Amino acid sequence: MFNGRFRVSAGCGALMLMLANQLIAADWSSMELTRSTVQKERQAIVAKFMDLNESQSHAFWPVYGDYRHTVARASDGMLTNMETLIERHGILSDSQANDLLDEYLKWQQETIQTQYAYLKKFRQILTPKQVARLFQLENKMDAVVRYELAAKVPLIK
Amino acid sequence: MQYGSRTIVMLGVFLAGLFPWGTALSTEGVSLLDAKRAKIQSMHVEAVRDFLHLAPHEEQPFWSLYEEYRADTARMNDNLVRLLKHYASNSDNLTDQQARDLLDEFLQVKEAKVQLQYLYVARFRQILPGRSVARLFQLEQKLDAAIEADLADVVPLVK
Repeated sequence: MFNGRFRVSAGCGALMLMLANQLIAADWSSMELTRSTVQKERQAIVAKFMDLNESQSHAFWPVYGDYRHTVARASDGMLTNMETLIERHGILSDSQANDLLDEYLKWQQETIQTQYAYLKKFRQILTPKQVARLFQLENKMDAVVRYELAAKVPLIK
Repeated sequence: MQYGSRTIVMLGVFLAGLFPWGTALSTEGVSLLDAKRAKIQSMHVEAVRDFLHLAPHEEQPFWSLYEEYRADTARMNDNLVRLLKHYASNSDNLTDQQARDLLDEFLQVKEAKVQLQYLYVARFRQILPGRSVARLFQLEQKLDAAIEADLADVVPLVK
């Protein structure tokens, strides 16, 4: 019953739960704090599950750092928008709501373009299965963050 | 309003409680996901009906377009479920080529979903005010976030 796959899945789940709990416990008045908490845990989770050899590790971490930096920079505008939405308790004009949704879609598109760009770079360093695992890990962590943010950000009134 | 947001997410989780916590996705699990998709679809409709607050004259054109949007979204999700099924039945001995193909297809589906959203945002704006359209896509995003978080917990990592 407790095969390797279960242990990896459960172990990853436990780390995700720990991350989610930290997010809940964090001071939500600051999205910046949330992001730094996620960033810190993200690297530890990737390190734990990627099984990199020494040469891969040497090449991987600078590229991964660049990738996270690029993703974070693209998220800056969205985080500011979410903070504003929380401060205003969801009260926006039609024009502000249009801008917010447009920026959200643009951000989603930019994030995918960043993933495509870095996919090529990661494939020069890691095996295809490792790259798939990396993107799975990123996707799992993003899902936890999106879930927490979805609960926190009020509906537009 | 924050209570409302959390309620929607919890409703999503209740519905999306597809797998016991810590259970890795299996071929049977993916079939279960298939069976739950109709409920997920109706959950979207229910949440939109409860939280969108349409004016009487908006009702008919909105629901007609929303039905179209959900049908197109379901077709996109068919591709994701197909990928999950393929992965669940091959996860123990996935080849490098299969891993590469699965990731490429996953990103393509994600990209296609964003393009679909762009298309429908423009169409919804022809019949609803800006705030209602933004609220609609917030609702969609909140429900999707709950379902994705649930799935993320059970899909095993590539070995």
